Amino acid sequence: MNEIERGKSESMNEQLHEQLSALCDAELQGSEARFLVRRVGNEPALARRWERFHIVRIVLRRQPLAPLAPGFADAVMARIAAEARPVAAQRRWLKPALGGAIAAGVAALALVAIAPQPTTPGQPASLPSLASTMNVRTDDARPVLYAQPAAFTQSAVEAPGFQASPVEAYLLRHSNATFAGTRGGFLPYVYVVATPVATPAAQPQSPTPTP
Amino acid sequence: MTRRCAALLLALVAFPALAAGDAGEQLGRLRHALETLQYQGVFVYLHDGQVDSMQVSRSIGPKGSREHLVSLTGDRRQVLREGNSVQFLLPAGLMTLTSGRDAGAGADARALSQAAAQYDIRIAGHSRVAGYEAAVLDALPRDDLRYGYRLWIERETGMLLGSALLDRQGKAIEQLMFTSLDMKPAPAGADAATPPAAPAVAATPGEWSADLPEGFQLIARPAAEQDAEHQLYSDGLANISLYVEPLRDESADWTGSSRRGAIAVVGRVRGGYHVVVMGDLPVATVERIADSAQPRLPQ
Repeated sequence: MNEIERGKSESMNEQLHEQLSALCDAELQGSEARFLVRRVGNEPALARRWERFHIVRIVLRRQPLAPLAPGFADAVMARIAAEARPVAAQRRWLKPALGGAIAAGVAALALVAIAPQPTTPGQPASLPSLASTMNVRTDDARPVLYAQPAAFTQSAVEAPGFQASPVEAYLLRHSNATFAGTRGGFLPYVYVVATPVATPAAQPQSPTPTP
Repeated sequence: MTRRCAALLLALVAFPALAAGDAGEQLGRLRHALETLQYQGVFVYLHDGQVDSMQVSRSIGPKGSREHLVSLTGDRRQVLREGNSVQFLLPAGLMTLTSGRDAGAGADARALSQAAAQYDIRIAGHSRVAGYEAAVLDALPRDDLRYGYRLWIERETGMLLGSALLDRQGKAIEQLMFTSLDMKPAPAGADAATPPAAPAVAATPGEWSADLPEGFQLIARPAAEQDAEHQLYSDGLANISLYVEPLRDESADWTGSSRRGAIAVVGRVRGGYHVVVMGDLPVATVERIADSAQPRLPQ
């Protein structure tokens, strides 16, 4: 590699560094973000580099590192490879939707899902493969959601190993949706942070006839 | 008992019920303070016969607001909101949720007037909390289907100093009270609100409907998977989420009734679909809503 090529390489490296940093801070938008997400998904070295970015970011914020297991990037890649696994086996509300969190989406590509399509209740719904969900373009899908201003988008990302109870999974989404209400602000999150207390066990219930 | 009745009578005379506009104004101040002030404090949260202590902070920087809520007792649990991104750090692991800029749409003056219609809202007295003078605002439901609220609101800023959920007998189901709190206004020119208030536009109805107590209106339909649905309703104070998704093969869908603090959670199987309803309402009300959920008939 001559001097010019080395210079070009360093410049590209620096640019990539800045892009990853922006992605990690959710500041990279649009096609630029989508392109980088795809690239991270395809290049294990880049995925590991992003993992380091993410860890540094957490350390800087003095957050516990425990949730990010060693080999995080490898786990992400493994999950991508296991794309044949049906989404139905996962809790939907922990990993649905789309939106602006493409940066976080890189942390768990397998968790990116797509927007609701108009479906007819009663008809079996097709379950998208991880491959199909990964290729959804946020901007393309958003208008499908609700063609009116009150619509809003959410995206969910969990680190590998995230094991919330079903009630907790719903609670996270509920609290996040109500934070702007009259009793909003930090109040909805108090239920999430509070120590869970044993509540009556879920009662098995046989399916009921169609209403 | 006689003394209590006399005190109540005195309170009613001294602090007459607020007009609907005044009630909305009080609640509006509360919401405005939560969204615009910078603060840091510690509060206790009493629920289910136990006491939790939490620290909360809200600051506003060049990139917007940052809120951090962390438990000081029990397991390490915390929530960090920066802009529209929320990170949950729980024993279960790390979870990030991102909301669009109009998340919480509908929590506006319309919602406040809803509250005035469904609750008898009045100033119940004055008190002192965490060193601040507070107005005590009672919002008592006009039916048996929801809880009542007692709110301690700082007189100058409108900041929430305490909150209690009350059952029909006036007994506190849960209570939150600051023990220390520092507040300061947002920096001049800063974008204090997170996220910006959304226009008051009603969300379009979803594929499913349910019989809700009077006054609840659909305020948002957060995005979900293509074959699932999430509808968020509010009566101005209480919130209800309705989740519907197709049953899974694993039969792992959760059914039954449960509570998390004052949040009741009910899961049902309805004609091949898994329905979950949750909200800060009595369990019986949430069960009734879940049992009434059904696909919306084509027009």
